[in-house]
Amino acid sequence: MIRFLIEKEFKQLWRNKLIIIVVALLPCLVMLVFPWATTMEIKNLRIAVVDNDRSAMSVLLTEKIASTEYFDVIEAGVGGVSADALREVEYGRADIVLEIPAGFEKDLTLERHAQVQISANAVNGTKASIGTSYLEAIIMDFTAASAPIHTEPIYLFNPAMDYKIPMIPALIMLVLSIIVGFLPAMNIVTEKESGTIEQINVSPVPKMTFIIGKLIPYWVIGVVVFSLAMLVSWLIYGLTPAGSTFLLYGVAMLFILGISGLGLIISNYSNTMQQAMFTIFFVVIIFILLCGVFTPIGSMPDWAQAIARFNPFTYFAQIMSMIYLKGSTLEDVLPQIFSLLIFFVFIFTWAILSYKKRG
Amino acid sequence: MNDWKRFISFVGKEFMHILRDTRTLMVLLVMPVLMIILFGFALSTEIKNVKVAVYDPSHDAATTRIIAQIESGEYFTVTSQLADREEVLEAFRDNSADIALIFEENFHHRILHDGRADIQIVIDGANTNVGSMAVYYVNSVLSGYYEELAQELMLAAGGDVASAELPMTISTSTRMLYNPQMESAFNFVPGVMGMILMLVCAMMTSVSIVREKERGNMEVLLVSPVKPFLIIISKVIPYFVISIINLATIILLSTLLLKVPISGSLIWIVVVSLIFIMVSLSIGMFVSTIVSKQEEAILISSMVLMLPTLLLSGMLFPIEGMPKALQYCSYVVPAKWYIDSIRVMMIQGLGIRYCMNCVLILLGFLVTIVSFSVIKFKDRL
Repeated sequence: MIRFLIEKEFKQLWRNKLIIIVVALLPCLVMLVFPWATTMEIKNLRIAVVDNDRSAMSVLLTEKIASTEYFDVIEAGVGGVSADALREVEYGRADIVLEIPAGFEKDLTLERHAQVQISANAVNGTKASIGTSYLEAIIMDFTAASAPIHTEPIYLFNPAMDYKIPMIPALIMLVLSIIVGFLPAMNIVTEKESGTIEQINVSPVPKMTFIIGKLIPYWVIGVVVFSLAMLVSWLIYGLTPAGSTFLLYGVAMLFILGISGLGLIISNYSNTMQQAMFTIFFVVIIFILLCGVFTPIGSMPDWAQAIARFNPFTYFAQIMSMIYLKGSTLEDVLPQIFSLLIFFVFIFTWAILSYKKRG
Repeated sequence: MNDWKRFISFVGKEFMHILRDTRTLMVLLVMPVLMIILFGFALSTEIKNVKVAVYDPSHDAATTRIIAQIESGEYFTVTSQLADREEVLEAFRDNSADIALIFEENFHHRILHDGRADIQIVIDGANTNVGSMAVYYVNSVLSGYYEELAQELMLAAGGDVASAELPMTISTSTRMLYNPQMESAFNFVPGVMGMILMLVCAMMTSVSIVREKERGNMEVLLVSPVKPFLIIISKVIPYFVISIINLATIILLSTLLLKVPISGSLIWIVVVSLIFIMVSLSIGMFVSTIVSKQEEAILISSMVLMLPTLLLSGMLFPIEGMPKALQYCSYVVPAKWYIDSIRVMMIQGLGIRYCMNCVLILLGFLVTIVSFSVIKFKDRL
């Protein structure tokens, strides 16, 4: 019986050309465009340097800042009050002001210690904190030669520290979850709205068969989306999984089933498409924001960390970046797989129980 | 006059539709509250509790001191001591460490006698969040340690060491203008406003208009004596009201709960928000004129509107860092202009004239989209 149900689902999907277009285009588009957008690297920040010392050392420091690709010095060498520089910030002509005090060189050579003042326009907080951290690193590096302890950063898995690379597995997860979350959420409710659900309800189809029949098409769609997204990241960014692709597919399939099951549950509880859509949107956005991809879980308060622990996206995001970028093995990701498995069993049972044959 | 009465009753009908669907209404009203709580309290780009693996073969006074100092802040937690430097890879692979500090052998000895010792900071490049921050933090801990070291060197040399041999350090004092505590909430509030308003207005409106089409109710409505365009307007009004409630919620919560100082003029913030709400509503209207099924409306508004609003509006990722082509793309995202102007007025506390260009662009969007949907709408009749 399940064969016919699946056949019916596929026919319905195939008839809906928009879904086909979304499934084919969205992964390509997202993988093509968004890795470039999700960068935390900023170049050409405009810095106003207020040099009150005008010594060899302060000029050297200014030159060092200007020589990096991160900063454009817009006002080097203006002495005196920094009020002018701050006005530049107010009018949006400068992002950061560096004030080198008078006696900078003297303090540095004689006292071995000097102080500078950084003021950043923190209206755009991300930009400000990135900018100041660049600047602080440059200033620290300025005196590094005289330091007794030498530090050498080594970036494993991503030697050039390319921001796109870590975002790729995260974006694959994002596009996958949007498609296999939204489409099933709209599925059963569509049948309710068009009335075809009544026919299924009066048929002898067992609940479990019905849910499995609904899940399998999205499983296939998910695998297609996943493969397309991986293909694009290979073609455009030259990134292939460092670990086992087979394992990656296995985990992705588990995740797809879990998320589409979640979509079906929401669909079961909804009477209109609007309801279904907003509920899945609500759930997905919380999961995505709290999964540690955009902001680190370690800096969340305890209650948010607790939510993150029950969030399937957290585990899938970890597995994706572990296998894709670090080449982790099955043994390394076993705890995460276990969590995803529990999530799937829970969702699957709930999906079956929430499907009521009486309207 | 009758037209007016009919229009009112149409608006009443739409309100009934919305009030009947309590769950959607709840989601719409609770969503902004939740977003503000999440962004205000849960999500912070600040880096804390970075897991550090340490390889310290010499285990001497200097390394223990440095490790203790690194761990004393809330940024780093030493999670494992490695027995072998090859274990670094393993620690990264099973996610038990984000960075690894590899100390040289005979560390202390080398500082005292060779004047130079090495630490390798190995960073998990798969983790976007740590990166260069970790290097900076380790270095700043080290420069604190140099002061101790200086005294030690001085003692070792019998209090007679030329100051020229001490390491030079420059300390920086950093001021974050307009947002002194560097609260990430300040940064996110305009973004949350942009996203919620876009969601409620564009998505809800398009779906609810298309539903009438799909169910065939549109025909019934269109044969009524009310002008077709007024029918659409009457569908839009309830969402306009909900958006205003959302706007009020967000502004109230951010001032009361997050203590975001609304330093600019509240009236202008509201005016610009109203313009943005109208832009979003008109986008919803436009979407509803080009599609005929709810599913299509949902897919278009979630994928063509929400994704760019989330990623290209400067809400999460700075636009300045994007390639030029994407920066141009961001120009057609209305939320970008809205968020920009709200940042200027709400956080920087500057007047409306500092963001006049954003406001004009938003008005431009409004006129263009409304005229397009009017044209499209007439075509269908």
